[in-house]
Amino acid sequence: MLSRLAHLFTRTAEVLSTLAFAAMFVLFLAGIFARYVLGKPLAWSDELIMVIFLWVVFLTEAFVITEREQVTFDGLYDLVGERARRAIQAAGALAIGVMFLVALPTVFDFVTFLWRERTNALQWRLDVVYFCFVVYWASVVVRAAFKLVRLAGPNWRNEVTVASDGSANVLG
Amino acid sequence: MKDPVLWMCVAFVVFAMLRFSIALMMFSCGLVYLWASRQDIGLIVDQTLNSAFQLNVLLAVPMFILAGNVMNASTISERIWAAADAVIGRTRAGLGHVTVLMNVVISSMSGSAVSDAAGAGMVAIQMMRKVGNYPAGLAVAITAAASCLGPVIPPSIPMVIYAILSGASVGALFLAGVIPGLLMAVSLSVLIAWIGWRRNLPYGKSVTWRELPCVFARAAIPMTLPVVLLGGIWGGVFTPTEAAAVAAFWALLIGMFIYRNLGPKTLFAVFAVSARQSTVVMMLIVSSFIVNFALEREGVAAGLAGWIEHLNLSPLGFQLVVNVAFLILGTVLDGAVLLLVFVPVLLPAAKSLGIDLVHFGVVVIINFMIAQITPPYGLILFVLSALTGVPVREINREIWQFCVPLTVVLFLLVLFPAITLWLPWVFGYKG
Repeated sequence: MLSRLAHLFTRTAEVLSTLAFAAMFVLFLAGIFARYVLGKPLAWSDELIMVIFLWVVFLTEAFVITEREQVTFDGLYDLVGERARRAIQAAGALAIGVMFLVALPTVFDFVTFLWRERTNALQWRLDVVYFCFVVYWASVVVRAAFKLVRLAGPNWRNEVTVASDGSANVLG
Repeated sequence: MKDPVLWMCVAFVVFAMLRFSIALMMFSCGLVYLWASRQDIGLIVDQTLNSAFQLNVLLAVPMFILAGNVMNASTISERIWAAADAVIGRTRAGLGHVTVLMNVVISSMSGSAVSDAAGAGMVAIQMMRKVGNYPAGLAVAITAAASCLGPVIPPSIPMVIYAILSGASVGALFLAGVIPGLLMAVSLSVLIAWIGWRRNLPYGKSVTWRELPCVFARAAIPMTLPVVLLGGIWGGVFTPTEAAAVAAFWALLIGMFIYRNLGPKTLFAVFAVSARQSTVVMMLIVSSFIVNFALEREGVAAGLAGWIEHLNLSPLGFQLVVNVAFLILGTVLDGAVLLLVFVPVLLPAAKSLGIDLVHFGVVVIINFMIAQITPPYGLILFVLSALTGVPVREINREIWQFCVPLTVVLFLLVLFPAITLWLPWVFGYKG
């Protein structure tokens, strides 16, 4: 039941991120059309695209991207056995969870403190625009906690056998 | 070295061993730095979001990713393969040469080697395995090496990122990549010819004169893509970001209305994978901002520049040292860290030595590409191994020989900057 709910949640998040990405693309084309064909550039389109993009990036990272899609250094990890891997993963998740949790209140305060500032073109409140970052930051803590639970559970071997998949890293 | 930076370096090593993903690692290193230097943690938000929000050029990255994925989903790679095969396939080790030539063409439409390897590269591997009966390791190694052309021949995602970091012009960088990319292709072909002769790789089949026009006609439409993309940028019509969006749109039109192989389902998949890939890449970029902020605030780059000045290193000597260091670091570090963290630290030194930043950028990016295919840590090797099922060990046995000609080209470019800069100069770049 719980895993089905989680699956449904991830799937919905993926559909939303895909649609938002498509919207970004359409806005891009609309902006170009307005600028070059109609001769009347849309002042707000670039900013709106950037806002959507930030939300797509941080929320996709928070809810859609799986751990195996992340780029990691596996030099040491590949050399050791299952139990050592479990220890490495647990120590990593604990370190990330604690650090991000300690920083979370400050991150939250910093973003909410921006309520007086507004974006240039759309005049949207910056705290609202940037809130995706707080969600992302909190998601890191939650994901680390879930991972610790899974590593402590009976199926911990599933956690340490997944190979990573770097094909989403198209930076180079 | 000052204490907070030292703490950050220690954290970097520890977090790497604990298998942090690179984006989380950079954020965590930023946290450690801010704690160690008793600064406000909120600076992470400030550096990540305010920097990203003001960098409109960043939006070129998702658009180039989208354009590449649209191209992979329509059958553009197969058509270009057929045309390249008709040109050069009949020679000994013909399919190896065809792979290189196909990558030259695909590179002029896509900006990422990983995406080229996973898309067009899979077509090449299949042909080399099935038609040419090449050993699996060799087929994958040829494809991995040829995919390195992707970010060197424009358009290029790492060049866009480098332009943001250095302030160099994207248009000039794109022009500067053309000749080095072609040189890399020639050097790979020379090696493939030699391997073909030594290991007796088969001749490819020849295409008759009568079939030629048809094969070329099938590839002609996709060839309009680089014309729109690069012509738009160099002609000053579009900004790189707009050009990338227009190219994606163009590829979409070709796939939907001319080839008719992009249905709603495929289209959704294309956008979904583009969103994912853009996210992974953008997380790497935005998380590096806080590390760069730390290195800048602590004066690491300026200190390095001063130290290098003190060493009386010539510009050439500096570039040789940097490139040798990058080649060594590239075997174990991910290319993203080299480009996003090490390059910004080196830029002030390069500037003060009077090195042309466009030239420096092209050289560094080629080095970064070599890093992606040098074992033990080479991202492209891992991706191709995962997609083809060929064990990394088998690929590693073959790939090292391809690193040699690419490294030779790299040092040729370092020694003779005019090779890189000639084309930008012709188009009026003053550097």
